[in-house]
Amino acid sequence: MMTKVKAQGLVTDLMPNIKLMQAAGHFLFNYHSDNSGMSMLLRKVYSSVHAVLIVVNYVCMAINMAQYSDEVNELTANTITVLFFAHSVIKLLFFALNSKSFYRTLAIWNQSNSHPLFTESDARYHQLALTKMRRLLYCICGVTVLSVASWVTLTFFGESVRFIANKETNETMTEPAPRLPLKAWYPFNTMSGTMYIAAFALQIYWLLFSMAIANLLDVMFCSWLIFACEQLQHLKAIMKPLMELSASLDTYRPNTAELFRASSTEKSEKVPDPVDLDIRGIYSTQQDFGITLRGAGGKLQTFGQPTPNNPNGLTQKQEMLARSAIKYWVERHKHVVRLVASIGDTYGTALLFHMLISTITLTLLAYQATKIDGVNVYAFSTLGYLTYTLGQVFHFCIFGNRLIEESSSVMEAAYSCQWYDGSEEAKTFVQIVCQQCQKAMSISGAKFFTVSLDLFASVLGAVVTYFMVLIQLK
Amino acid sequence: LNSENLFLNRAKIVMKIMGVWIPPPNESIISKIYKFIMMFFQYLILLFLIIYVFQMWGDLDAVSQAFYVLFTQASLCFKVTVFLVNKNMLMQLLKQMKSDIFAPKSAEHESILILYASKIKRLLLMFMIAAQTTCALWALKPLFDDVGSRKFPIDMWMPVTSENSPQYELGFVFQFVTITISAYMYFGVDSVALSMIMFGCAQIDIVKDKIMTIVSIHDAKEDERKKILQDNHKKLVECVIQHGAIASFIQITENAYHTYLFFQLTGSVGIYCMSALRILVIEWQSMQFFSIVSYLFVITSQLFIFCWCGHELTATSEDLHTVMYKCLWYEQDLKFKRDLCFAMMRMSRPMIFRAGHYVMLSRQTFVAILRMSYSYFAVLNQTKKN
Repeated sequence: MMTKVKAQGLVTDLMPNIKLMQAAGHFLFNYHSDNSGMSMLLRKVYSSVHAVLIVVNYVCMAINMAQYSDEVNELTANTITVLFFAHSVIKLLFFALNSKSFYRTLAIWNQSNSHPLFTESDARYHQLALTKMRRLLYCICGVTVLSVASWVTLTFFGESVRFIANKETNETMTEPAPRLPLKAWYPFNTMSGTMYIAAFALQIYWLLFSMAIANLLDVMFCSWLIFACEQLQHLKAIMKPLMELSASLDTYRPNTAELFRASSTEKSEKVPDPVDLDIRGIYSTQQDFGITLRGAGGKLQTFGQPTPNNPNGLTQKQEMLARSAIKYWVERHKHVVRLVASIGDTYGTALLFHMLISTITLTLLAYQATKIDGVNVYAFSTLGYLTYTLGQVFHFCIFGNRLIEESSSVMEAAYSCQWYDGSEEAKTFVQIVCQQCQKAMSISGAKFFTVSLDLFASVLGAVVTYFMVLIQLK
Repeated sequence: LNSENLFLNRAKIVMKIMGVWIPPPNESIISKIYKFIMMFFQYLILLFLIIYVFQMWGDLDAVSQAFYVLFTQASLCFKVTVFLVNKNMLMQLLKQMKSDIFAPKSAEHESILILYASKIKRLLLMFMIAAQTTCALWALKPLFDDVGSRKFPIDMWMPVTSENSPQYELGFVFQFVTITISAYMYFGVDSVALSMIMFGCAQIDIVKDKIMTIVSIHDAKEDERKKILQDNHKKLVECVIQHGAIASFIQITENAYHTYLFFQLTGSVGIYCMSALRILVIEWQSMQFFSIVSYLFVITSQLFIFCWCGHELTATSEDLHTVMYKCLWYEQDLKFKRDLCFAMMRMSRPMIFRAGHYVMLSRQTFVAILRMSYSYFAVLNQTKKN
């Protein structure tokens, strides 16, 4: 259902990413300002054309792999390339099939609660998140463009051959192949001439768009994680003022006016000093008012001298602010938990596929790496594949790890503000928060594994182990 | 009792002589120049070694021989640079060491601090002696092994050849002095990081001691009970504040020194492989063999000291949780019990010192590194044979 969604919340923050994804051909049809039938149709046609081209070229590469599967080296190299670009095809399909889930995750932060005392902190961390997300996007875009450029450059070095197994003598021969970035079967002859140039142009386009498709989706995932982490930082930052606010309700504190200072810039009325109230002189006993002055929820009356229940003489408004601050904190934390759960549900399966394919790719690359015998095109391309694949895994592992660390450090933040001086209410709040935050929030790949630096270390260790074993077998 | 001097006096003296300790606010030009010259010589040796490795690329023997010296020197340059860059954090740590929270309040506390300080100083002294022995053996190598031919103690690219007489001696002295200085700098920088960790351990022990001094109200008279309960609660709060301060102290230490620890841990694997490969090749009666063995001992001991310290910290902080339970909590009032419950919940999480914010320093890590190096060594050995 393509409804016109007003850009707010996460969508506004991620708009450059979304626009790039739409340009790369993902089936992302929401979040356009113009939703007329004609432009919608054009966009669908655009995405479909991209999808068809990408899948067709991918199939051509697979056909090439099947054609020349006799010789081991050629087969391995082609399998690695096919697996490498399987990520793009899978991510394209995954997004197309799961777009509702993505829209839901993007819409989760559309309505967020707010509290007048904490808006400044909220804005600051939101801005931090935005800066980091933009920086990540630029970085990954740069890496993609650089990879494509270096791939195309590397095509012009070395011999443009493929390996054939001579069936009689069982030794490897080379036969000339078209000097193209990717080895693929085309129905036309691409050795030279206009067809060669056409195929080359097609392949450059294909390289750029397929890498962009895969990387932009990963960037979106990591941007969500950055946002969640910055929200957790915000919650940690407001823990201390929150404790003091809560303590001011039933423990005498010398500087309670300071705590409410932020609110005075928001509210138009001046926050009155308790001493200034000359009503106090008139309405000094509760008896004069009885039940009628009791606000909803059994709030304290603040006219009159500080009562035992209200040692700091807070006004009704201040008391409401203090009580609602805890509510704000808890609701915001629950919102973050919802966001993380939604991220995990949306992207978990994609991560699982990514890790499966990457594991196989890295095993084959370890084998290829044992055949490196000098500084040549083969070495550069193998090392390039290796670095890129490991880099992709590292990319989401590092952000997953940060989420785990941030969410488990909320407990330490709660513990480090002086809870022992606070009120019973403050202590209970901190205690319950700590109980909940003992279990860290993490993203799992469809519950098979947790995305963290441990995952990356085990992948790296596995590659090195295979490499060592294979070298010994040679 | 000055904690800083107790833990760091040796390191401070050594590093002041080397010119790399924290400079006073109005540092004179001379000391700045001195520091610059010291650092320059270290980087110069590193450069020479790199040139040598590039020259000898392809010859596995020569490369492995040069490699372990190269790694040591690179590690040292990195260490001292990180140390100098993070001197603000070090000043913060030293200030915290002298603060009231960490000041010993009884003779018992002082003896705990002295015990931990002596432990770490003994271990570091052993490391220092081993390092100096290695330097001496390296220096003696040309005199014993290659008698007749004039070679430098360490194979590296030298701007002077060993033929001409005054230049050979100068080069020899330059190498020997700079390597000895680098060993002392190693000792100094490692002392600082390790002493901080052991200081954290000592403070945790002090917290344990404090909580056990909770007085029983059983024998007290009726009117004194309230005062004793209040005192006990105040002690608990002090313990909580001190524990929080120790946690942040260790966190600052980790932030300051985690990079070079990580570099060292990952590099140690390569060092073990290369050194083991050399040992297999060299005749065991030569000075070079002994120098490599002694060098391996130095690296192993350094690695072990780090992993041991990290493990001590984790084990001591886990123990704190148990000790909190051993105090006389069941006689105290409800407020004490609820606060104790909360404090124990926090203390159930042990303090972990992680190199590179990732690799936990513990005895298991030490064993894992040895196993990893052995497996790499086995593979490289096999490759060489084929």
